[in-house]
Amino acid sequence: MSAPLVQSHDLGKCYKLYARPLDRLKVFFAPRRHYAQDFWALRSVHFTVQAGESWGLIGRNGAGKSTLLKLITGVTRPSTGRLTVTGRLGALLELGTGFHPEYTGRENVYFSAAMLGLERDETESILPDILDFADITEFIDRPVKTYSSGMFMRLGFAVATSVRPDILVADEILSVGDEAFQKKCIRRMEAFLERGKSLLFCSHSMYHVLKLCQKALWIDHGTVRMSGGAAEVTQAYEEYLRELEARDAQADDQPPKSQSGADVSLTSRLRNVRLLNGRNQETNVFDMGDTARLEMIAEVPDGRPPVFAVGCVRRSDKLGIYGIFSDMDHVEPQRLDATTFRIVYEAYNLSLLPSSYTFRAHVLDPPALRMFDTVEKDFSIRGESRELGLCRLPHRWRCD
Amino acid sequence: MPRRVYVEGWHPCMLTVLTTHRYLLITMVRREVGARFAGTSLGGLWSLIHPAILLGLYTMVFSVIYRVGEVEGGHSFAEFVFCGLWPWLAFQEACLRSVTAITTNANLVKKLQFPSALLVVAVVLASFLVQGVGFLLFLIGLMIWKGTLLGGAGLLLWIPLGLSLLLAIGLGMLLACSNVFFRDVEQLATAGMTLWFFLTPILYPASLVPDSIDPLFSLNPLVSIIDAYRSIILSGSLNPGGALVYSVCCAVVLLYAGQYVFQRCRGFFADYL
Repeated sequence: MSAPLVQSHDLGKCYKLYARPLDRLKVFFAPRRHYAQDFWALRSVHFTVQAGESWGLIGRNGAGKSTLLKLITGVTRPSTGRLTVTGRLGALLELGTGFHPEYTGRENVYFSAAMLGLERDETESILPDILDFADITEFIDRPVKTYSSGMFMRLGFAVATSVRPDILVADEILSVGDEAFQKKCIRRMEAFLERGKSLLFCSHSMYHVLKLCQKALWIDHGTVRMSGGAAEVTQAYEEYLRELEARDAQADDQPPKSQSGADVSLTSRLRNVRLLNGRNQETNVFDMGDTARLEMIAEVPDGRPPVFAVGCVRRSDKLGIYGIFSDMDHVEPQRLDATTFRIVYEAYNLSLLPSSYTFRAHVLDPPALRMFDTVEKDFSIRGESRELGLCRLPHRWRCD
Repeated sequence: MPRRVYVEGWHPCMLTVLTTHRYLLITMVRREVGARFAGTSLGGLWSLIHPAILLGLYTMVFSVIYRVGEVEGGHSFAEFVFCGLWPWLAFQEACLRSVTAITTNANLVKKLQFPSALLVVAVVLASFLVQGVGFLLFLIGLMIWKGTLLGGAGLLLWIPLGLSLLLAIGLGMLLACSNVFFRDVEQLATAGMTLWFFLTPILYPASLVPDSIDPLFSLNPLVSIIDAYRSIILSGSLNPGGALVYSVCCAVVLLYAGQYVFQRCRGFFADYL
């Protein structure tokens, strides 16, 4: 049982791009001439999935993730290299593949299951499980065209996961449903993994990848950029995305994310915001337990000491984690000159779990009623932790 | 544990695919037959109405207007045409539908790994099944009307039926495959089948074909198949049994070529659809 489920050696896929349909015909008669442009969607991919492993597949759009999944599911054939797939494979490249709108849910289940390689009696035995998950008991004998999109997706997901594959290959399927659907699917995939099965899961949501996968494969421009532990790879990938974003922002020649008011001369403005570590070096990567300092320098035209505020949100969904105003703690900013004030917000012993976050720095008028300016600073907490949630609450276990 | 290894030139034999995926094939045929009449109120009746209209039309044009009397051995024109019309319609429908068997199921071919050859076989089987039911009903009607019984000779019908089925599968494979790469095949096939209809002795007996073009005319493997149907139904025997040898050869060659080309190409379907 130690044979890997999926093993690829120097795997590559080349698509031929023709300018016109007629060129394809010409190739038949003059195969030596080159009418097509080669496009390598994947190149020299070495990749192994052992039984019981769950892999997240990440990368930007067009990086070659779907091509790799298509190769593994056998939908398309590799141009170079060698690929071995052992065991029953459940492909979920799309929810409800092959559902015919005129047929009833039951008929479509039988057809889908047959397409996935099941015999009639096998389908009959898993039907209760499918109905249970899809939750469409009274609709199962009505045409699929009458289903809501939620029912359709649940049924599609239920069929593909009920055939009890050894490895489930799923391509960006969670992104289409609402949160309830996502949770339901994740629970089912977790149960699937608990039975010692393997998962190959492609997603743009690092949250889902971290939740479901032990390992991750980062594909960039058709090649493997990084492969390893899910936490490590997703962090590197998010780092890379941030760099790209910053480069884009620079190219656009915009001030870095400042939402200054219309009349700058009369309102306060954050002149400089820096994110520093405990040694006062500028950075945006921290370890748990580090000290982070957010230095804010504001220009206030009327010279009255302003109120500063700092908020911390999770980057992926802007979920607020903590927020505080300087006047709540009765702190006055340091006056640098007649119209300039400085303050440092220091977060020591950082308890945020490894992920990506954003500090929001704000400057407000003295009664803390009007917010004049906001500057965002992205940062990430690196490291590996199996703890759940956002931050580590001070705790201890007791057995007395 | 099923195991799949990709190396250059990989393709399993069609016969193994058919036996290992019997249930999937049956499911596909059932779905194909159902989809044809899905949403119509007359349903399966349409498979009788359409050929009946054609038969009535040809009988009117040739028997009533052109006053063609009895054809070959004292049979009425209507029964003569009937014997060839249904087998032809089954064959034509099978071919025309298999042209688009892969392209209309692009979503399946692009998303799932399964033996896509089954799509073609299912379409051909469904066409023969649908026309076959109509054929059988009209055959029973004919026997009641004439008061004759087609006894043991009826079992011989399996020979031309099986032959035309194999021809259709072989040709269907080639057509389905080529239509993925060149969509022009669809247009070509429609025109080609009309031509083929008139080059096959359905509305006229093969004996009327002038000797000058007979060698060319006999290249059509359907000539002896339609003749076989006719002689079994009308005279209860398979007269020119020897002529079928050529059709058998054609069926074998087409079937082999069809499955060979198909298995070679099917790995590229997802890339071109």
